[in-house]
Amino acid sequence: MIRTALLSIGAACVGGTLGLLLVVGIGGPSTADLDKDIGSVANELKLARAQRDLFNGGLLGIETNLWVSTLESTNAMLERKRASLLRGIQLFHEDGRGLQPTNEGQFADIDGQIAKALREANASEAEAARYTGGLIQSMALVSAATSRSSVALLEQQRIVLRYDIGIPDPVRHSGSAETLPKPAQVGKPTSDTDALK
Amino acid sequence: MTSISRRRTLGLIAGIGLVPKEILAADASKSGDDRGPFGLTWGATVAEVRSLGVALSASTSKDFGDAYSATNLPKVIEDATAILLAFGYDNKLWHVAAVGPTIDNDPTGIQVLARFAELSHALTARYGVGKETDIRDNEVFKEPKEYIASLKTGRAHRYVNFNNGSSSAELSIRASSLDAAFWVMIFESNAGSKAFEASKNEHEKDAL
Repeated sequence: MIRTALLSIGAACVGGTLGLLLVVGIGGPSTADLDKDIGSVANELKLARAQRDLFNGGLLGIETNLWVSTLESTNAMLERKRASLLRGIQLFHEDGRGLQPTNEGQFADIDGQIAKALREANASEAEAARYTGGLIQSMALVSAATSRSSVALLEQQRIVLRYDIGIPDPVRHSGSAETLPKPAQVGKPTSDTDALK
Repeated sequence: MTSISRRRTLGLIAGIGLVPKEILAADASKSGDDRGPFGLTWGATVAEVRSLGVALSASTSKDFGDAYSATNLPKVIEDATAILLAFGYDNKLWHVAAVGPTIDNDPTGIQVLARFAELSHALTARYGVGKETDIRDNEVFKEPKEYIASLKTGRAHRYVNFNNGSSSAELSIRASSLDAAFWVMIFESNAGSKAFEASKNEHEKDAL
């Protein structure tokens, strides 16, 4: 009896480990990687929100709002991916294909763009710091905020690639009559009044 | 109020332009009216409905006796997405349910409410003035943008009941999520409903 119980416990442990390995294996990067990225995005989000609170309107306000919104959606993507890993839920793209493993080669181009946008943001911020106000400083700050938004968008793109996160198809979800599937035909359509006669 | 005196009263009100003509027409409908919605006839058998060209596929729902999901009906409301016909236990059509499309991303319910108003008007033309129930949540989901959420959680209700003496109809709004809703119409033959209740009792006794 005791031997049977020990064998059962042993089998359960092996099964559980295999299950865990399968979940981690399917998902690609581990939850530790995700936690690191989530933390990084959270820090950047904190900074972006602080900037947004400084500029409550105008072009600068719009740019910083875009920056915050992009980071918030990146954060939501990462949280969804993390939840799917923890719960063992396999995510699919809308075309039905499963998630694909990461290809490191795809990142070179995007990393180059991120580095360029960061350089531009830093240069604009340095330019803005030379002035205490006025139009020139405002323009430099707008330029810096635009570059920061670009960085946030590119980082989001990198995260989508890295974790192969399925994103909704904007055409399919545009809501236009041409793209939406037609409802099932239950009969010959007529006016409301005529149908009820 | 008798039927004649009610008609006279409505006629007087119509004279000063308060009641649409179609309501009077509905009021004047015969009490023995066996016309159902969508070109159907109350009391028709499965075979008779199929003879109209209607495609019926058996439903697992037995709440209203033998029920079928129907397609290819002679006429339907343009945006109806599903129609269920129930024939009770004696093979006589007595209950029809129609469901509208789910309207997504509409937390205030503005779109579904607009369609509800249109359908309510059409039902008024057929069945006379209905009794509307509009219960709102004044505590939790009380903001306009939380209206569908209040329906979904059962804290609000919106429906209107019609009865023209021979048949009844109910139009309601149901929520499928916190920001998506659809309309539902339920029609019943009054005589058929009574017969179903009686046969249901017999059916349950037999089952025991």
